[in-house]
Amino acid sequence: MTLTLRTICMSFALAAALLVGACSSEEPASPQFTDAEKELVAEVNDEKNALDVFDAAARIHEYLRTTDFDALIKEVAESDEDEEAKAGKTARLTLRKEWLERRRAEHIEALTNELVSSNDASREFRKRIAGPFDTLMTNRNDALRGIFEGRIAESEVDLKAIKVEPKPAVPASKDSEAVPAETIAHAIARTMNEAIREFYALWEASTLLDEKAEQSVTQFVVFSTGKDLPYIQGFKPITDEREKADMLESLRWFALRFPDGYVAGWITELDDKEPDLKSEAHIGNPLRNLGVSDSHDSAERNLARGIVEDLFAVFGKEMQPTKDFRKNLVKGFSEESDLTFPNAWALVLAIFGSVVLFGGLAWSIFLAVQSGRKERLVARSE
Amino acid sequence: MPNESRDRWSNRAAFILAAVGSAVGLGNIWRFPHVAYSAGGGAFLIPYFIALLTAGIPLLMLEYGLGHRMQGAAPTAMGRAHKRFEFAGWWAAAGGLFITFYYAIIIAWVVFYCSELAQSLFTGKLPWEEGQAAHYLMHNAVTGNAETEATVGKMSPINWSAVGFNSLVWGFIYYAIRNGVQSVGKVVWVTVLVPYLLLFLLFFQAINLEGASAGLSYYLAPDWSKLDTLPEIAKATAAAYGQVFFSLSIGFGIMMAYASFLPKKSDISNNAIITSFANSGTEFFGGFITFSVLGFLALNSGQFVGDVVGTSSFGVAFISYPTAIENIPVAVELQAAIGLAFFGSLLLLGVDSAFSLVEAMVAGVHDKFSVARKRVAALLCVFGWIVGFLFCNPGGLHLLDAMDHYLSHGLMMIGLIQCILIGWVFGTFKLRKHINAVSERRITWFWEFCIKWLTPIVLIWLLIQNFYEDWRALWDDDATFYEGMPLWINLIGLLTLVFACTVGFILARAKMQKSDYFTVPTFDYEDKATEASATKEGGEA
Repeated sequence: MTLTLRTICMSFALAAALLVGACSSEEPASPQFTDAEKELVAEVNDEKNALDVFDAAARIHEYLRTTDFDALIKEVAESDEDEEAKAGKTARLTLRKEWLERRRAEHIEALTNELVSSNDASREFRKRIAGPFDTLMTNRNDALRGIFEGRIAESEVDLKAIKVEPKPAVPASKDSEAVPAETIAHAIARTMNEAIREFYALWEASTLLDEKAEQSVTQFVVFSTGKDLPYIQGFKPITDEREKADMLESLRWFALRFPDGYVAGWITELDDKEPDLKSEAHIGNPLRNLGVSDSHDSAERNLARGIVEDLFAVFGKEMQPTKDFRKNLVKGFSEESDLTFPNAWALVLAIFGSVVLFGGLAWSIFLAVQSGRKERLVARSE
Repeated sequence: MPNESRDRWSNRAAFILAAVGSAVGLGNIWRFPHVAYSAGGGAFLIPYFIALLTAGIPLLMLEYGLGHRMQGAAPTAMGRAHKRFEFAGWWAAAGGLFITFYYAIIIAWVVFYCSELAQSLFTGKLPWEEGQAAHYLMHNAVTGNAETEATVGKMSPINWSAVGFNSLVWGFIYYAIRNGVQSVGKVVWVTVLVPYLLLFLLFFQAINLEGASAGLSYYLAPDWSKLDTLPEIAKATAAAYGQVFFSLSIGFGIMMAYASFLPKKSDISNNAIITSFANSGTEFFGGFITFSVLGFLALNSGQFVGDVVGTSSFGVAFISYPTAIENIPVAVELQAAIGLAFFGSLLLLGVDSAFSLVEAMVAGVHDKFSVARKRVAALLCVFGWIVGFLFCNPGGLHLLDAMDHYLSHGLMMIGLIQCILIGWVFGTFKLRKHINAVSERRITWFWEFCIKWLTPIVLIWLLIQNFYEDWRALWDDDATFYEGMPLWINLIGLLTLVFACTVGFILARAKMQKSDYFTVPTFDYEDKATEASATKEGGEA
């Protein structure tokens, strides 16, 4: 693989910075990396492939996530040390953080270039990255689905295998009310949510990717929203536009990852067994426009259309997930139909139209037959 | 007395079937549901019924009444009502004939689909690849060449498969009309009743598809916003009158020709009502099939019904329906059988409209020039087949579209002329008296009001609106010509309309062979008072 000129320049810059730092007596310019960090910022050998570069980026990312440099800098600033020492430590911490971030960005850029230029690398990369995540998530989803379908009792779920740990009950205290133990279904859904978030977090840096690169990693683009999923914790009435947008975003997330709609259905079921579409606050309300024929460009329609496009992109000709998603939308969020019977108004007008047209036709034919019979009788009598 | 030697329908049912067959065409299956959906779904039924009662049925009664009263095809009937109006009758017949030139090509594509689907019954493979229905339509049916795109103005290569099927269509048209109402009266028992049987089968199959209810909701759930402001009401009303007008085959002269072959005592008013309700009932019913299938298709493709409906009603039949067929979870042979039933019903609905359009011209020529009808029919069919080459090429689809658009405007102009002729020249009262004298069901002053005032006003309004929409691009940079096509092809469409009108004038000026061509026949009404009045009418006319 080819590392960019920028990477090489950065390496020279690093060496130069170290040199300058060594010569200077005033500023502790050296980042003074730890051994672990030295390993992280080391060059990725040109002979290594895209997956190795990704691993390197992922390791840096994980390190940055677990080593909260901002918190460390804050700690230093609040310490009792003298100002000079504080400034030195802060500068070193900042340098370490910046170097790590820069190296992560370089890796991602190099990776992007490789994925854009090579389909094989791209395919291999997707397989490698998505594989373990997919397996775990698919197993979790299967378990959740089994619970909803009543095929599996909650107690039968092998929580260790799917790495899910329900939260225990919390007794009441002075400051808070008692919290009951988390249900298995809830715990699975929460864990899935967290996993998606973590997975995405790894890719926050991918905002550096340009459009082409995004296309080359389509499978990850569908996970490209890093927002929280506020409604996973249970139904909350929607009170403003922001919450509505969050809800839609949540739905988008769920639907993307779990197009069979079980999770989205679960949201509705969780707190409201019988969706009350008349309630302004109901989760289904913002999506009611889906069923209105003239709301072609409503945000909801566009959202759903976007989801469908993403599903096509991910699943290709495999239509079942897309179909399931659509079915779930119609059943759960649209008042147009529940797929077993048309909407009531449509039925009324179907009956009205049929009575007028077919009734009118039948009556006219009846009169014609009567007059024909009369004519025949007259002719016979003559 | 009416001309005793004139051909007569063998019975009333044959006439009604022929009239229904003429009125019910391809557009009933794909145009009405599309218009209804776009103009407010169930809410559209209100302006539609109003249009049917105030324009559709009255105009059909006018055409039946005039044809019957004057005992002649459109040119004869209008000429006998007033000599100067003969041209309008020829114009109507010529317009209908011109429409058949390309209508036959659409039917030829339908025959192509039928033949391919019939093969699928044995091969176990649908003619089109999965998800490739649009490509199949354009490259296999329209251009006949996998490499050639349908392109405006591109006249080669010729699609020989379409030419072949077009020959079959014209052959059948000749077969149906060769003996006038005698042969038409027999053919319609098959071409009209069989499609209804097929449509019923398709209906039960379609409403049982998953997602059908969602499609039906889209079709009929009322969108009252389409009727809540004056401009919206005007838009929906225009759509309703346009639909009623186009779908009833008014303005082609065919209904006058058919009615002229009715016996003396014929229930004109009830026949018009039966034909109108049968036509509207068919298109309303067709919507159930179309939208059930679209609902199913939407569900299977993960889209909304509104998204699979698209903007073209033509695409519903040739793209959406085939796409839906391939998704129906049954064996391929059964999928092919469903497709065959659908395209078979389209084929039969199409051909009886097509031969009725040619019959209008044949009857007119036969009436005026006393040429043997078989000879006229053969000449027109050969001519129509030759003109069909214009559409059997990559540019044919666009040419067809432009011609259809502008010739449709001609229908409205002819409808307007008919209203002026009867309402303001001949006199609605006289025709009303004739209709009442021969009919079981009497018509009232309201019919006169519709013909004299209401329908002409609506038609003038529609014509102005259409003119504005079509030519706005000349002075408005933001607007485009019809379907975004170039100016020149729009001008060709307009010229076709002008040419049909010119043909009308030329034929009206041509020397007639019958000395009694303009003689208004007298009727031996049972009611003496009515007879006296009718004789007087004849003299005045």
